Amino acid sequence: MNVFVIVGKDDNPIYQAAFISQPKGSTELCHLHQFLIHAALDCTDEQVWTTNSLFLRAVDFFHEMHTSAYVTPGHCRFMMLHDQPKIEDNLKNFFLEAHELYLKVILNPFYEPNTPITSPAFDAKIRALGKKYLS
Amino acid sequence: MESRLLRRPVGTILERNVATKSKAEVNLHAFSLLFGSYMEYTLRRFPDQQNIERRLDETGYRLGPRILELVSFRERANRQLKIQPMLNFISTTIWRNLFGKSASLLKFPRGTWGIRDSEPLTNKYISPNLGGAAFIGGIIRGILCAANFECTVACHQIAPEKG
Repeated sequence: MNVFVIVGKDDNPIYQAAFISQPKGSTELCHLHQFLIHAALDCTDEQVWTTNSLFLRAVDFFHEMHTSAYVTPGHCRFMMLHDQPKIEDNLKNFFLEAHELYLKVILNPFYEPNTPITSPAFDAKIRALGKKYLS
Repeated sequence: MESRLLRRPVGTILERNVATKSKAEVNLHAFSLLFGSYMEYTLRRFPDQQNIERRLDETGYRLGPRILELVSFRERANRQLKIQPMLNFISTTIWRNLFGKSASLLKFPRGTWGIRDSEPLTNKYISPNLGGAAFIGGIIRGILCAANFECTVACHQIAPEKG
């Protein structure tokens, strides 16, 4: 179970994808995931100014759930909620490739920064990345 | 030649390679023509000097975050946490990527900084009195705001130099 969210500079969600292996999660669980990622944002904002590396590793824990964060130089936050503590290296590669995709999206002059990314091509690419690194 | 012109890029923009810097540079004359036309258009619509500087600043501001992300990704640079390394990064790395040279960073009292470029690209073929450098000022403002540094940016002409 992994949930990936991109949060823009003004604390607005601009992209969300859930990689759930079997669809057993009820809607209640989905709300919990959102809540956990929300909570981890505060921890991210604290840690962002303590290190200059982009990948912040796990910033927040809640029982078995870990939230890892990656912050771009333009302060766009990539958050990943997951329950496998051993996939840090995979996560780093996932974030790096997601960063490149995000970069290509914001270079599009018709895309307004900090607005939701609706491109189906971007969504497909992120889902392919999720399959490659997180399953 | 014709077939080259007609050939469309395959796939979406997500297939393109942006991580490595392309060797091709934009022709200075082409840039000047485009920038000059943009200024002429703005001048026609807003004849007031302050207005044109504000418009140019806003245009540059939209570019700033994109330039920051692109250059940082290409140079594999980390996030900057303090203002001095950030301005250093702008005046060397970003300047080199945008204009092919570096600018000098000046420190003034009371937390004021200056970036001095003796020959700004925007003023090469356009009269400096029109304030074309406000465009570069806008880019700097966009970069600093994206990196979460509060700032105000002003462009000054120091005869015969620009800061």
